[in-house]
Amino acid sequence: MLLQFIVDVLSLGSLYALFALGLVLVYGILKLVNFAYGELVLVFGYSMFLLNATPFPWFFMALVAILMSIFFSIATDYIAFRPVREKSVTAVLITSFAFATLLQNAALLLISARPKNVPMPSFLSDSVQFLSVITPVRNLISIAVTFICLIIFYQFMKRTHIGLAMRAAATNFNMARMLGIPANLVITTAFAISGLLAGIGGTLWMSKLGMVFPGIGLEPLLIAFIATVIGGMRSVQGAVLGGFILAFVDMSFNYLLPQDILKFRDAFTFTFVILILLIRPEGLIKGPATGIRT
Amino acid sequence: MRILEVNNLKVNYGPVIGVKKVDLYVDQGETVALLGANGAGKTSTILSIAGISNKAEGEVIFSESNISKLVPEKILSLGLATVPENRDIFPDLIVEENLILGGYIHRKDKNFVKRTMDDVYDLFPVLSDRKNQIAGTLSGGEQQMLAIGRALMSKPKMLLLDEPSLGLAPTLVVKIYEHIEQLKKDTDLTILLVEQHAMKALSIADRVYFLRLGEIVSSGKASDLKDTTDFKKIYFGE
Repeated sequence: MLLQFIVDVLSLGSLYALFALGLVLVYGILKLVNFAYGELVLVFGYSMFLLNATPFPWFFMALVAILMSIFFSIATDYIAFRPVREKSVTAVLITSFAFATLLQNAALLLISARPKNVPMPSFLSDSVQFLSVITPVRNLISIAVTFICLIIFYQFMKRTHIGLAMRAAATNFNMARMLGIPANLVITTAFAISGLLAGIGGTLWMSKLGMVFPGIGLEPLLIAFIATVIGGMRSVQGAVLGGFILAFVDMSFNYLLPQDILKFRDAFTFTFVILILLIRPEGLIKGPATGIRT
Repeated sequence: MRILEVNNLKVNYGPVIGVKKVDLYVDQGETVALLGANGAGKTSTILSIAGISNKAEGEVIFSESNISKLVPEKILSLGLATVPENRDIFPDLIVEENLILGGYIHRKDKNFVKRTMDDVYDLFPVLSDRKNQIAGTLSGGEQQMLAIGRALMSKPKMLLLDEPSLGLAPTLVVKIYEHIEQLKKDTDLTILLVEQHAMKALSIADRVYFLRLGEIVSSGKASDLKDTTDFKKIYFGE
């Protein structure tokens, strides 16, 4: 029972952590929340749906769909952020919501309001049993993929010049620019990685849902946002930690709440989040000292 | 040879005037000090030259090109490095990572970066001892050295140095100035130095500008001004 719980929390948490990481990466540098972030999952889902008609192998389709979410993430920067970034926070808030709405409506108009099937390899849904744990293969893959992503991400931020530059820019963007680090390169890279993580997260998310619909982006955005708020908006470690904590809370309620209250689980989760914020308004991990918006 | 020329610089922060009118120049190899009290517009001037202030009007010429509309990363790549007030090191990175970032524009030439870093460690041996330490845990003086060292990593032609003595204990101020003097001796670096600490700045500067309420009120050779200037008047008004 305990082991089962741990596997469930880890698999859900790893997915949440991926989503949160993608959101906090852009926030860390621009100090602006990308509210069109959830729509990257939508882009991934519909790309998969459209590619389904092609004869390519699944793996190739997923790769193209992830590239599409990277592309749309960078497009978010160019369309919603760059023109108004220096003017006001409110403007970016509105433009990023607008871009999200635009994509949702494009999906409604051009494809359908009804959910569409997303092709997923059938082995993902097979159950495996080890020790006393029964779990679908996709949960184990979620955990493995996330841990690989986190390790690569960590090495990237630690060892490459651009990774180092991004960490510097997250602390003090103007200072980084005064050292010759190009602002636009750092921002575009952040959006690209954010899109990559949303795409990978989207793959794992879709493997659970098996379908895509115009409103699909809301939940990943909400998850990512809450996880970063819990963990600390300014810290990458915080976002990952926040993802796992949120999954722990969700999963605990899944196990503990009686069946007829379970549908109100989110209310319990949010209550818990509010409690965390009352105790630690800055989130659990504070992150770098200077968080001035630039 | 003229390396930096600032003509008719104005900075308005909405209704508040940061800099009313600043004209100054710096020749190759010179150390020029910009002195004045709090709020005189020293830092606004420096940040405008470095390209950080988007409220600045006027003309800034560096190495014969007009840089007044350029972004800060471009200005650095032309050879004008800045050590801002408050030092602004990256506190959660280690000392060496801070230096590597300082040499970002030379990142493709690994040997060059290595050699420049060795030079910086020679100038500030304490940084070498602490190269794997988180920069935020350094003392104020060490952070100042790191900020200067980091700026030197780009091998600039000219350095903008904003209040290196700020918030440091008097003994450390002496030490920092010894290092700056050493730096002047070792290299042909041109420096524009901003200071509140007038006597300290006069001791190493060739020429001086006095800034009061956003305007240059007096200027001249440091050696002449040292004894004759009525500092009280410049700092506190009539």
